[in-house]
Amino acid sequence: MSFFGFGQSAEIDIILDGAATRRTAEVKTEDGKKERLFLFFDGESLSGKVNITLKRPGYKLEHQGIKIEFLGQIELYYDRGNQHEFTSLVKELARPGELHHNTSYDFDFNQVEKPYEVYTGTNVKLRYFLRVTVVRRLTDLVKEVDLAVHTLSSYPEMNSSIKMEVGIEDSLHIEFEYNKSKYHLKDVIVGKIYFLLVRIKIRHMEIAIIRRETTGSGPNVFNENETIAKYEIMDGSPVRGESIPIRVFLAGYDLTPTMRDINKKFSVRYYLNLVLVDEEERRYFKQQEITLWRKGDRIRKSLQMAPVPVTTPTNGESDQLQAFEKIPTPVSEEASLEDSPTEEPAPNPAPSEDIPRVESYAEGVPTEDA
Amino acid sequence: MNRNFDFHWDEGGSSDLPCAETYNGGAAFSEIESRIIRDTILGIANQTLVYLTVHSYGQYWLTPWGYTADLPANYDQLYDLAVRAVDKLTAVYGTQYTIGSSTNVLYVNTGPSDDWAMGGAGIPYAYTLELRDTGKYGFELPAEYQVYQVKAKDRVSFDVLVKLYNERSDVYDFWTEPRYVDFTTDVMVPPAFTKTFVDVLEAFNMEYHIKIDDVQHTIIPMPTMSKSGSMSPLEDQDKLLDEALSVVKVQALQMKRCLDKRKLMDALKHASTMLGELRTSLLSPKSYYELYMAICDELQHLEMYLLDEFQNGRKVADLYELVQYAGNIIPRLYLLVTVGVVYIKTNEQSRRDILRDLVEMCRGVQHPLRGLFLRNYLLQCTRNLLPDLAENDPLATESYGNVRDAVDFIQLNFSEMNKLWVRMAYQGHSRDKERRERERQELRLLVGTNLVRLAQLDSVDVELYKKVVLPGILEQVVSCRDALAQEYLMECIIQVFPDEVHLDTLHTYLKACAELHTDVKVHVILVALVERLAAYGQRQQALGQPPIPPHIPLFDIFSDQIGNIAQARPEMPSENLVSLQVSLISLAFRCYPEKINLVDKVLESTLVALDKIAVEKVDFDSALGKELNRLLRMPISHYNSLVTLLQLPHFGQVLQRLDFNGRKSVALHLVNNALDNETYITTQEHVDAVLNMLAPLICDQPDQVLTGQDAEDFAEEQNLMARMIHLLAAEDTDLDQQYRMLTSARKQFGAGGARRIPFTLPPLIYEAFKLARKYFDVRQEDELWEKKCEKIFTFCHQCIAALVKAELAELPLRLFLQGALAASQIIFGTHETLAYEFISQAFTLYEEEISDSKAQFAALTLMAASLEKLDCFSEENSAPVRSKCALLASALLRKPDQCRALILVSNLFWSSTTKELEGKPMRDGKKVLECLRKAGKVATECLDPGVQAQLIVELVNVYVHFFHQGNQHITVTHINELISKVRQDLLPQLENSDEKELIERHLGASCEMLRHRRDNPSTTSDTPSYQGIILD
Repeated sequence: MSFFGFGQSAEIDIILDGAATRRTAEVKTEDGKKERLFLFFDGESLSGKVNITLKRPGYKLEHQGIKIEFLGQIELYYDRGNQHEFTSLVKELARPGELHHNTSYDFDFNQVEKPYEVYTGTNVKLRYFLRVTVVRRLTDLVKEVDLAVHTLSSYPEMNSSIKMEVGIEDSLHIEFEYNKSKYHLKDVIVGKIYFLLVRIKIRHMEIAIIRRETTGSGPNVFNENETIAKYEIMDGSPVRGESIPIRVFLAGYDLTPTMRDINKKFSVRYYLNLVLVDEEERRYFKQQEITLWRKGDRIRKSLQMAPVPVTTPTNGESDQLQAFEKIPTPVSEEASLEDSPTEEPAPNPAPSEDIPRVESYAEGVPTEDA
Repeated sequence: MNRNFDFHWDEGGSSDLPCAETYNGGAAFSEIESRIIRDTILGIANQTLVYLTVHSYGQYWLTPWGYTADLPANYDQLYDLAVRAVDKLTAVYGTQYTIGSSTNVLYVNTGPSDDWAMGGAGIPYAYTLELRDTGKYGFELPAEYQVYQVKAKDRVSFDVLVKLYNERSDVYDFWTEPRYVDFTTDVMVPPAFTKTFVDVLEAFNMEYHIKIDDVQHTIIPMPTMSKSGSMSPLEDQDKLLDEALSVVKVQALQMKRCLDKRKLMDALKHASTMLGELRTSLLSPKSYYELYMAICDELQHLEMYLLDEFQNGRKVADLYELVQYAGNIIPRLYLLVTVGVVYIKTNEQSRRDILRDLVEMCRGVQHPLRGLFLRNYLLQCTRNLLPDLAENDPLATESYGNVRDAVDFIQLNFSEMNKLWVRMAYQGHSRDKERRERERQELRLLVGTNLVRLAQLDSVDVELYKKVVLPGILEQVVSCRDALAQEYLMECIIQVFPDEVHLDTLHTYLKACAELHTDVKVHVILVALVERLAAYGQRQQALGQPPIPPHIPLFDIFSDQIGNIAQARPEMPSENLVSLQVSLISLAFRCYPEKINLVDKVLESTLVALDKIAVEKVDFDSALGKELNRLLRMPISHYNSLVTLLQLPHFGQVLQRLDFNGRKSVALHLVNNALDNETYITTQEHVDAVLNMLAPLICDQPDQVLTGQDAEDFAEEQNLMARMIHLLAAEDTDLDQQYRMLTSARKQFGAGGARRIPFTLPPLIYEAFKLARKYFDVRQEDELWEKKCEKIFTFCHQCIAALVKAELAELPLRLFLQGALAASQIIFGTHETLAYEFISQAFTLYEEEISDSKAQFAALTLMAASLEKLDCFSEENSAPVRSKCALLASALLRKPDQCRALILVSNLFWSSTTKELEGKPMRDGKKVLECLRKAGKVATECLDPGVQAQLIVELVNVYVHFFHQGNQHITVTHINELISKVRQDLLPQLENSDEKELIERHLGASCEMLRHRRDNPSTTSDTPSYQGIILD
């Protein structure tokens, strides 16, 4: 940084302790590229050195003080100017004065609280970085280094399976089951779908993993849905009584842990969307939220040969029938997903007595051409 | 580009228009490419001898200059070198190149690189090569490179391949390095070398086939097909298939290249794209099958590679997860199966879990066609991997699994496949039903393979089969309620499993049969089963073992279950029921040959079944009639004995259920069979029974159809019956029995009516005569024999009378004569009376019934001959008969007949005998002469001299005959007279003709004989002297 070819300038380098051995993590940048950053966890200390290298040796560098900051920041893209800092730690490295030589400063942030995970989304970005500032009269010399932060969770205490019977009266009743409601990022979703009544001609069925990013609050809520993965789980039309296995490995997808109401600024939630497409391109779907969490991955995961869960008949309480949303033939697949209402589908208000037991629809004939 | 070089740039033959092919660039070396070439060449120009620039097309070897028609200074050297190069080219490829400077051979072009290389950079030899072709295809040549898949079968040929690989890689592009014997290598071969290459392959007996016919074709990307819509019409199928196959080729090629470069991820991606072709809904099952086969080939390659790579079993788990990221289920599952197989092969202990996982995951494909093929792939890939170990085998660990797991695996796969297969029937429009059924038939093998695999499990013992395997299959078969599937699968069960286990599980199997869909042709299944078990029984017998283990009442089981099935499905056509009975009979024959009552039991149940459907008479031409016919013929052909058949009380009853034609056909079969096998019928009861069965041939039937039977066929039938009569033969000593049999037969045949008795009664009568003779032969042993003989003759008389009554004449006449002769030879009390009675009957018949002159003559001849033979008459009886004969002879209508008859009758007076003469001939010479005189007189009365001459010549012979016999009443004069009459009177009257010649020769022969006798008089005294015969 030099002005008009004169005046002293300096390069600032931040060297973290143990940089050679520290793990890194890929973090998406705003332009969609990925960069490798040093990885930190909540409560971990940050220490290291700041090297200031003078560009023109022999000349002095005047400054109004040198400081290092550790910052956690949420940036909403529609509100660029406003960055919300949720963490801000400052250490003074040098009092105002002059630098004559290349100088190093040690710094140390002890057991820093890092409550959230880094995130780069469609409308929002959460980042952590170290910033060294050499304060000068006209322009400060600034150096920022982004850091990756992962939040680790332990196994959830409650992790019940998701089991539900849904359908459209007289044409389709299915019961699906996912073995858990909370999955870690390298987990495997194992499940099963029972077809209790099929009177439509299904062409295929897929599971989509949808990320819903919610930003803003009150009246200015923005929802952004993104289909992370589409995974065909069935080809062709089943008949009554068939059961279809589900097995989705999550490790291969670009997922983050579920984030709920981060600093009252945004949320990132994940949904499993079960979509059936019939011969006339009509789509029937059912969304279920799942919670994703990050597991400390010191133990290498081994192949998940998870046994297929034995499904017990649904008990009376969960016997509630929920209507599929039915979307008229959409222009394209993508459109339909984005156009579809994203709110939680309202449970069918009708009391269960009014709804005929699915069994009563049972009919032996495979779906036949009308 | 080739106009952009700075040597006489833009002096013609180039264009200033940027869109032209020959655009010069606007300035020399305006283009970066040409500049780079320039800089490079200038850097090495001083060490460079030759500059070559390679172009297409035209087959030219061009030298500079392009800017002028003048030749360069060193053109001679240029030309020499070019000629040598072109000769070499031609020697290898046979292509002809034209040599010359570009301007002279082609056209003016300025700024090309060779001009610059020579003129600008100073390289002494610069050429432009225009490669193939000469214009047929131009710039885009059709590809002719072929890819061969080659496999060296032994060390020698392998070494040859390696040599080719190491030393001729300039020509042969080995896509994979030949690694070991039996390793399959792909080699791309240029067109000029295909023949040489194939020759080498054949010389070393390598296995090869053309894998890609035309590489170019695979390089040009094909438009991908749309995935929607349903199956396309037939005409598009080939096109669609071709498109899909070419995608497969390209992707497989790329997959292999990636594998060779060890880029597993990319290879899997290509494999997945390739497998994506199997997602199509547009192909018919047949085309889909072809596509599937092509892809399976390629997957095998992948599997081989993965096996090599993951031999140690490490990391396969990751791979197993990796392939599951494929977004589409079809490619995913194919890959999963492929990798799963590798997993198992590299890590034995994962066997049970992986197999279970694979077969479960395949549930995701619910589309019938795609699902069937996927599961077939699973089945094919795992065929050698199933844990085929007994449950107590120490190797069958928890994770390895045992035969139960193998059975579960196949059964699950089977039932899923069957469900898919059945579901095909309900897809699509109902008007396509027929086509769908056809397609399903084509696919049935896929389902059946499951059963084959089950049968191939060595560790399945009878117990397991009985308890697990069969019930599992049957449950699926019965519950699918689809006729096509049931029929095929039930037959499949029979065919694929060994006979021994069928024997042990018959009850279960047959019970399931009764529960099948009503459209299932159960009888076909059962017939197949019975057939198989019967064959098994026969084989066992051949090995000297009891055909069927004695504790299994095979026949009873079948018989009961067939009854049950019949009850369970009242709508089953009766012919099918009968065909079941046919197979039952066959079973009884082959497995219980000694138990004849079983056969009868079958017949009885058939009868019951017929009662049930209340059919009185079964039409022969109906399906039921045909089946019944088959049913009845089986025991006939099996036992080859009418008499054995009589032990089947129900045979006749079933027979009666057929209509006339049917009964007749069976009867004919019976008769032929009896004749072929010479089945003798030995008792009266049997005669009755047999003839009852043969009734349609014996007498008119109430339900007989009278119209149009061919007379010849009828005669044929009746002749058969006549032959049949000769089979009625009681034991030799039991003549009474024989008599009773004859009377029985007589009764039956007597009812046959006038059309039949001429055929049937005569043999009966002859049999009777024979019998009488036999009585006579044993007369010492039977006191009553005379009485019996008399009775027999009375019987014969009645028979003949019946024939007379049927308005026949000649036949009974003959029979009477025969009777008389027979009676005369058997000497019993009344035989003369009887014989006389017979003769007189014959005469009566002659007088009353025979009117045709020829017939009369013939009859008379017979009568005369018979009389001559008869020796039992007293003179009292004999004389009138003789004179009667003479009388009748002279009463014949035609003179020649009269004449000849008289000649015959004359013999009666000479050689016949009477009781009084005790067998000596009568020798009544006077009467003889009288007859002959009369004959001579009649002869002379003939108007035609030829006939007369003939008759007289004959007379001469007769005279000579009697003369020679010593008839004193005949003298040489008689003979002379006759000879001269012929010679003098008659022959001259005749014109020369064949007839005359014949007579002359006849006479000549007689004369010759006379001359001989005259000239060589006999030494014995009793021959008369021929002296005085005038011969000339």
